[in-house]
Amino acid sequence: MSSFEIWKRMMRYTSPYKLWGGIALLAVVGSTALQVVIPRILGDVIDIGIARGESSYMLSAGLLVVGLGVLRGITGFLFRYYGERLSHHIAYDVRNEVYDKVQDLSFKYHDNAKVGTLITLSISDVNEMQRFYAFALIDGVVTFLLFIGISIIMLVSSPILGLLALVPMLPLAYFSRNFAMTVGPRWKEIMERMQKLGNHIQENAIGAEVVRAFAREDFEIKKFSDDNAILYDEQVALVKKWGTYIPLSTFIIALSTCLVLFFGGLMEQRGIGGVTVGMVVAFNVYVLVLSQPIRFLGFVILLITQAISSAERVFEILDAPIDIENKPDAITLEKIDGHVRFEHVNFRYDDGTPDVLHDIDFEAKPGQIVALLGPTGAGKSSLVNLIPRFYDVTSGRVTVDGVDVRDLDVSSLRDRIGIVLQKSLLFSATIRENIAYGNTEASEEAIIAAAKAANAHDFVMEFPEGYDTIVGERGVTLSGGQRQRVAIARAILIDPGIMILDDSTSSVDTKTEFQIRQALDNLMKDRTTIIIAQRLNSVQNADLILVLKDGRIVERGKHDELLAANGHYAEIYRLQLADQDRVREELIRAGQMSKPRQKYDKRATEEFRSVMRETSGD
Amino acid sequence: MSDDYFEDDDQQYSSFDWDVSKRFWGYLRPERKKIYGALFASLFSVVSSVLGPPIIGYAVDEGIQNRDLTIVGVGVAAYLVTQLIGAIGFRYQIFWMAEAGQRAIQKLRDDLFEHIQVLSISFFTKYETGRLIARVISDVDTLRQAITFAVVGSFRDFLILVGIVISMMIINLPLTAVAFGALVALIVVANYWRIYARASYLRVVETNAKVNAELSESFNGVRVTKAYDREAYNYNRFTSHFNMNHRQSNVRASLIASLFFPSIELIGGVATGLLIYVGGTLVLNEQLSVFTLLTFVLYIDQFFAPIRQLAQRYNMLQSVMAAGHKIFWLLDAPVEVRDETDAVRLPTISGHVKFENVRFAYDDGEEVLRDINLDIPAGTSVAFVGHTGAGKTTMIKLIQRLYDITEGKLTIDGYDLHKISQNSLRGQFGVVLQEPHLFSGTVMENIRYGRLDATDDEVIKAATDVGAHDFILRLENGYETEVREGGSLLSAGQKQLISFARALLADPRLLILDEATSNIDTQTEKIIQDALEILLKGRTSFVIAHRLSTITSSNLIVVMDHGRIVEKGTHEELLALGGMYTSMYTMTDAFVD
Repeated sequence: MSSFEIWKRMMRYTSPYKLWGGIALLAVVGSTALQVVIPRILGDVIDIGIARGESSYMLSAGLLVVGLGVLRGITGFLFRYYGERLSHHIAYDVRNEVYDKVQDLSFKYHDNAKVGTLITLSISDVNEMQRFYAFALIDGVVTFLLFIGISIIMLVSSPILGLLALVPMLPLAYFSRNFAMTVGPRWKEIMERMQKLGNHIQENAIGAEVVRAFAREDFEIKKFSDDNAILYDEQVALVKKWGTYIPLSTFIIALSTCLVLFFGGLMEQRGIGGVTVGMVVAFNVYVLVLSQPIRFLGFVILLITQAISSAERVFEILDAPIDIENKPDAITLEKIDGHVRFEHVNFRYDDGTPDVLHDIDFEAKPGQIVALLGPTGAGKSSLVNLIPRFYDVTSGRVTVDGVDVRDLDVSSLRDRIGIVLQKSLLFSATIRENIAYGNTEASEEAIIAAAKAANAHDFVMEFPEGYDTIVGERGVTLSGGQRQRVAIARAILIDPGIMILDDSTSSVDTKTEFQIRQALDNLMKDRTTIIIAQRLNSVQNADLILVLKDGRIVERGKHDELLAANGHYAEIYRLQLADQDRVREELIRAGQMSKPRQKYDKRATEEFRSVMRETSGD
Repeated sequence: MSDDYFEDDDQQYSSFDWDVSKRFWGYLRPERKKIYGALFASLFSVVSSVLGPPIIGYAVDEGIQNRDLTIVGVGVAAYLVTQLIGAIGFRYQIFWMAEAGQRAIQKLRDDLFEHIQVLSISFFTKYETGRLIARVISDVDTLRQAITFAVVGSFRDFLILVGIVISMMIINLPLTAVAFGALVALIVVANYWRIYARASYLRVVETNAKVNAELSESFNGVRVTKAYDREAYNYNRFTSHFNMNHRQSNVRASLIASLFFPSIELIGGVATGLLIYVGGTLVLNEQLSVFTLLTFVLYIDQFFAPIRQLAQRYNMLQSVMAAGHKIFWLLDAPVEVRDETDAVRLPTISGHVKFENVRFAYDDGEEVLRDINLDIPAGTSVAFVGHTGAGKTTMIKLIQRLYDITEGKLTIDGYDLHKISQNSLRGQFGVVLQEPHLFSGTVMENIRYGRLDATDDEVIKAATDVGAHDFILRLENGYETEVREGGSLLSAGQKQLISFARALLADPRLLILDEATSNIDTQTEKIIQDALEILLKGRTSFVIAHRLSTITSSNLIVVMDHGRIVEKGTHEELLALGGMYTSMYTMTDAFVD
């Protein structure tokens, strides 16, 4: 995008606020005109009032200046207020657009994006744009109008004196431009350096335990303070540029004043070009009036440069393609039974990268549990992410209840799928709000019933605030296992047709895990559960176990079948559970242990079922 | 310090605070010569500002009016000289102040970062990373701007104001009264405005913080939002609540500012009008010279610029005080684990760890460990076993002295952990955590973090020993591959292997593995187990694992429950005991509740 296109696009944002923009613009023109008139009156006071001795002129001139002051106040208010109002409304619009877009962008985009960058963009970059509309635009117009207006008046009153007054403005404009051009890149460097310092802090806060564990505090401090020292140099250099530019421009304006005084005096004495004492005075004030915005010019140019680079970043996000969208004739599912089929699915994340899934073909019928097992990087998470259409398959197809997921309305599909990820993210809100995240209409009873089914109710009630306890950084810190259980309750509460558990119980102990598994078995009786696990004991009772390796299904079957096949699964079993099962059997045989009773209280899940039936009015 | 970690964000500060100012002066003090220099230099620009108008007035009245070009020439020269001196003064004011202020800021940032390095681990679970960054980066930058531009600038503006008033009084007393009237009117308006400006400023800060927090939550949780199809709900809430409040508070602040600044212009207009009428009439009656009138008119213009500046800096002052408060709050956050003044360096240890009647409770009094007695001879491999919340992780944090014990005695090789320096202790540990943390940099640099002077060959050897070499070679740039934030490039298991290599390279005397293999699949774990067998030989190690099959060969298994040790022994001994370990191992504990 060229700067000009960005500029045009930025101007398009003003179109809903034409009225305010118009008011601000008119007021700016008015205010500028008034500023141009005042020195003229001063000149006339000297030439007409004093020189000709007209005392009545003093009163009218005084009143006129007061009146102009009032008008200037009013126009000043109008252009400031409407300019800023417009700018904040545009900032609001842009920020909404960015927010909407970030939420719409697919997983693929977010895999490569940094959250910090997105936040900076929606805050700082949008603020830069806001400053552009509020200040740069208006001050740019003011500077331009003032310069034109004053130049015309001076040149008309006295072409020679006017030219003399304007000559020093040329080097001033040159220095301003230079200043703006050197400041821009330097400013960017400083911003990058600060970002680097920010990253140091981020890493050291998140990795504090690692830094301490390796006693690398001094190493980290040195890294930080080295960058901090460079920042010192960069910042001092920038301020010095400014500290040179400002006095230099002040001095150039003083030169202009001197030219006006000396040559004005000379011309008045010699009677050249009708120069009068009042004119010299008026010119003098003109130069002063002009000096303010011209000195500001460097700043305005800087603002515009910054705003354009910020807007470019914003527009880049707004224009990012969304690769997962509803087809025009997308089918909306009222209800999902949970019949999932993968038909010869191949998948890769990006063109040019190798496939992460090859020829995946299996079926999960309603009521079944399908378990995925396999080494790190085998493609388990990639596989389950295709079901809610977080990504699109590269070839083959994934169907839910017989329909290709690409033909379904994405919302209706995701509405009916409960997902619990490996690392559960909870929001800084109450536990109640977190459980109800996917079902904001849920009744209190349903929320509690879901929490009970997820084995979360008891620990929630141990907090003094119960379900009103705020979790996350501003509230209580939940352990990994507690977080997982809240996330599971959240998934249960949407009463899903398909439940996906992506290694979600590896941070709870075996006892809790067992109870959650029982609850889910009961809840998902006629629905589908897809489970990824590292621990074998959580997949043993699955209807279908798929062993993945390098993106392929290398073994499939039930626990017993796979043990008999004596392949990968049997190997994992030997490593993980064989001995534990053997010890248990031996102890039972020796009579030192009774056969385990599967004691599980079904009341919680029954309660949830009945609450959901009532609320949905079945 | 209060327990409330968020007080610093929520509190409303007074607009001026002596404590903050005094503490910041502590940072400026070493640079005071430059600051005095800058103040002195600013006097020159004050003088040039005050002298400019009378010189012009003189040149016009005595020179041009009387058609005396010599006088005009003298006036012009005088004007040029004063302006030159003023410009040079201003330049030095900025230069010296930039150097002094920036130096203080650099020191403050370094201090903050050093403090972050000694704060206890638990601090970071309460104090969000984003806020930490805001303190060290943006809040410090707010101070920087104030110190570079506002402090001496305000001093100068104030002096200009005083200088102009004095100069006016010398030239003409009655006319000064007119200007003074305008000044009083301005002060009244400004004082009134201040109240509204402060309220609107606080509201902007508040709504701003909420937009920030909401964006951070939403963007971090975007995957969950999509999974639960909550985009529309969130969007609605953002547009009609957070972002809307933000817009409204800003528009209101604009309204208040827009009312104030034009009112300066208005008062200026009235004052100029009055001057022209009164002054002009007096000139006509020959009671006043054109010089005086002209000087006053030019003065009025200069009069209002510093007042504007001072008013604008009022908003700045508020953010500076708020920023200062938060910064010093963080600097004062207490360090829980401190080296004693007479702390000794721990020599190379053999690894004999002993707990004697150890009790540990968090600050809030919550008791986590009780009656811990454990004697671990050097070279033992120890496994901690128990349900969530049993206190396993706390045990290994105490051994590393990430927390100090509440009661009892904890020694390594007979050295009380209290009495040795933390650095000398931790330098002898190798740690692998459940969630591996990698630093930005290459894979090579990340492994080398374990021992900074390791050669490339040593790094590769460590990677090979833990079975990471093969996958590293398959990465885009092998060992030189950059590790990215979020790490979408590396899987959790791969990151874990790198952190294993890092720990191995450190060649530690004590090794700690906290759920280090729960993200690693069984086959990879097997490779690591083999590597560990070599690594563990002759070293003391502490392991926590949920998957009990991984710890059966430990020399000592310690079973914990609700902060106590309930069983200890080898795998065989514990199975023979038929207690808690047996039921955990046979997975029967889940059934009998």
